[in-house]
Amino acid sequence: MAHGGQARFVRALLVWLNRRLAPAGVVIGPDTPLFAAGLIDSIRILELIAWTERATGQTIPDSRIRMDNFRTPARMAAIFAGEGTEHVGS
Amino acid sequence: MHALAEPTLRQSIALATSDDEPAARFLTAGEHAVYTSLPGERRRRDWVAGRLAAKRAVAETIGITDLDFIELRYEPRRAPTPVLVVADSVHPIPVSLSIAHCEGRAAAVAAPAPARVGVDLERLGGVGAMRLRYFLTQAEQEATRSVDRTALWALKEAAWKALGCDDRTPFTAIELSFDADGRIRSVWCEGQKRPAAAVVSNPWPGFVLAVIQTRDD
Repeated sequence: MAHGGQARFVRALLVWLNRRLAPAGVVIGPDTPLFAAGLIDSIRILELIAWTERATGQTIPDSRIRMDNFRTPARMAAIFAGEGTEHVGS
Repeated sequence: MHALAEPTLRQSIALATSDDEPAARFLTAGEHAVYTSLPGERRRRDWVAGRLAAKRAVAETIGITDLDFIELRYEPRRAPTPVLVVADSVHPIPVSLSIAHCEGRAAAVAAPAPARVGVDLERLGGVGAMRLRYFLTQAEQEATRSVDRTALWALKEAAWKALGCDDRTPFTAIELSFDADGRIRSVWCEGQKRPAAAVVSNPWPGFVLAVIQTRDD
């Protein structure tokens, strides 16, 4: 089960994703593959990285900027949202 | 044939849009089954444009004009494998193939093995200046100050495809190496250097296309 920081991260991320990046008629959920089936163009990962850095208040190290860490909202939370994440909602 | 000339490299680059030809005219029965199973009109338009561009590129590479003989065998998360189908016999086509699509437009590049090719097609203006550090190494940022930012993303993605990297490869694990004139001469991946050459163009207004060819030494 996701802890509080991860749950808040996912909630805020889903609001942003569905408002900004979801194609018409698609509702993105925690386990929706973002890139695998072509739902979102790969270049959009740059927006996900920027959102994540704003949300966590931390710079993502180069070694963690890879497609598999952004494959679903839940995966992003597991990788980037720690217990102490306080900036979510930006 | 919608090809962009690149006389110094043995490769064929082909373009297509989803409106060029009816899908039923150039898809095999197997391909058409995949096409109709895809979710959403946007995905189907991109997919069919990609298949048409790929068949054009492969046909030019092997010197045939009839696309009906070429079938693209679907492989998840990878470029499809092209085969030549004549009567009931199937023959592998020894080419490297890469496909990219964007908003109903597509590009494909094919080259005889053992070359390895990658292509990417993007709409210009998708990369903010502050986001270059997400996918470029420090050396790449210093060497490419005059290059369009979206073209840089497209070059990096094309290299990623040409090298056959998977989703676990960090973007900065791949490094493009430029000569004094700003041309790509090699690509580094996880400490290994390979010779490389690139083509960047604007096949449609507002779009940028990048192709990289490399090979295993």
